[in-house]
Amino acid sequence: MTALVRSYGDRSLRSLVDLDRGLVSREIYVNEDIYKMELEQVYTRAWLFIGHESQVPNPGDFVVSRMGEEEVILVRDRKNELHVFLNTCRHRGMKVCRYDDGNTLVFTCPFHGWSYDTDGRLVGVPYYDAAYKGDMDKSEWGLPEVAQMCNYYGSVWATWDKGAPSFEDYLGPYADMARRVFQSTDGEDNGVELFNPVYKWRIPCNWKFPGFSFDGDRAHGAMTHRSINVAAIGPQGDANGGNRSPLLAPFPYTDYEMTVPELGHGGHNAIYDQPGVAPYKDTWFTEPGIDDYYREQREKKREKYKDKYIVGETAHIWPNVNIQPHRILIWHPHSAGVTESWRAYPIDRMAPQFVKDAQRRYMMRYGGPCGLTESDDMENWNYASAASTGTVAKRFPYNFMMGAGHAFKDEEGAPGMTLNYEVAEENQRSRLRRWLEFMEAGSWEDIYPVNPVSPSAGQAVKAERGTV
Amino acid sequence: MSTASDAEETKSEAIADSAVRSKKVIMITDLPEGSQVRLRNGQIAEVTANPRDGGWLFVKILESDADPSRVGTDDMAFCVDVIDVIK
Ligand code: FES
Ligand SMILES: [Fe+2]
Repeated sequence: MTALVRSYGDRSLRSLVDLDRGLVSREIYVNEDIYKMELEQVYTRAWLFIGHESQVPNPGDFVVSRMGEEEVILVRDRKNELHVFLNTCRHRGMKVCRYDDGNTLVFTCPFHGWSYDTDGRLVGVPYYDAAYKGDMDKSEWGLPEVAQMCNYYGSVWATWDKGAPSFEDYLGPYADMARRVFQSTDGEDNGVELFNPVYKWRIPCNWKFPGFSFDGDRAHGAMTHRSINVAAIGPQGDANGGNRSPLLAPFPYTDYEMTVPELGHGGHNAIYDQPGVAPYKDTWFTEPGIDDYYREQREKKREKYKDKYIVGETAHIWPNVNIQPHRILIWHPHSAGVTESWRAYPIDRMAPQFVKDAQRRYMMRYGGPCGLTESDDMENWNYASAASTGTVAKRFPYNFMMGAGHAFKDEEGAPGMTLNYEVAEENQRSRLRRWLEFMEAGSWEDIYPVNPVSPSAGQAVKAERGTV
Repeated sequence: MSTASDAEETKSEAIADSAVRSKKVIMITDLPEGSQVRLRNGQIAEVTANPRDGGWLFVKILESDADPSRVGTDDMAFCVDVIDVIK
């Protein structure tokens, strides 16, 4: 394995992330050089979420997305194939697409007019015969295309690295959960579409603040989000004091912080005590008819899964996306101190319009730039970021000790996963662990197949569940 | 009195003129499919699709005296090469 040690002052990168002791230097969240290195080491290598096939249903449809700081175009070509291209002209670099989405025959560069087919081929070059006189081979000057793309049950992912493992291998034990996220509520594969458009806004903090803490920081909920229940933003209205979760009450389960430290993925996931899917509980007290739709869907899903043990249904897919049945959260790096947050909202493709509308209104109240939960979160991430940049402030490391050394396995309940108490910082340590590996790796060969978690990484697996 | 920027503007207009080499600016953005156009190289072509970007047309070559083998082939025509709309 390539040991690529870089120094910050007199400190190596590895010395900034001490998972044994749960101490992490603030430097990795604010340092410009580390940020630039992330763009290369993390964002040109990892599989990244691009969008969903429902955003481009017809030939010629396109939607602009992002990989790291850079814009890409997800497009369906005239032969119905999906592609992901870098949004930059091969002539002088101009953006060839300046719309968020649309339908086109070609992407024509507004600068000098080079024109690219929806399959990326350069098809039009002004003055080609008269000026180039056949000296330039157009076939060598198409739009830059990602090295690998995967349409995973309707969701589209891509990487710039041809050495990366397949997307399914990248997901590892999270493959099944990721598949279920893109099912409709009756358990049908490829069952959702995304609301258009995607929410996009910028927040003044490093991408790792939200990216590494979301679905890994349950401890913040009681303090940060207490006001939400009081505001009763859920579809249940004032019922149960505005707290919807207990009303959903599936059959007996235990919630864990669940992660694959070797891969960096993880979420807050339940292990149920019995197979199958729990019966539906009504909660849409403020919107007539919605419960009827979801109850019927749930019955179909229960039938499909009656013999199967289900583990969890949300996941943070390393490095910067969290996928859930009703929302997808992406944190794009924009600069060391700025993150561009994107929210996409899946909804059952076949749902009646009034259900789609109700779900959309709920999600707008709940998340995004003006939703109540994320306003709470942003206040913390943004101010914590700012207060971590000072010369003196940077002398004091962050504390990631919660639950360190208390992880355990339950191969029967959650194969391949590492578990910890439902309020821990296990998932955040996993992400930091994988971050360090990516930042030090010379290539994918150094980090896949994965390196087993070292017993001294603050994530030693103590024992099997039931013996702790 | 002319200023430096006047001179710049005149110069870039001249460049634009020489690039176009045409007295007439043909707006191609709204040309419907089936239109026929005359191209600078003498070919006559039919518009098969219009991406409506103002820069290009998808065409089928109908007449090509200089190179008859091009007749019937699909091509793309750049805006400044469209010198007339004949139908
Ligand atoms: S930069 Fe695109 S044609 Fe010149
Ligand atoms: Fe939160």
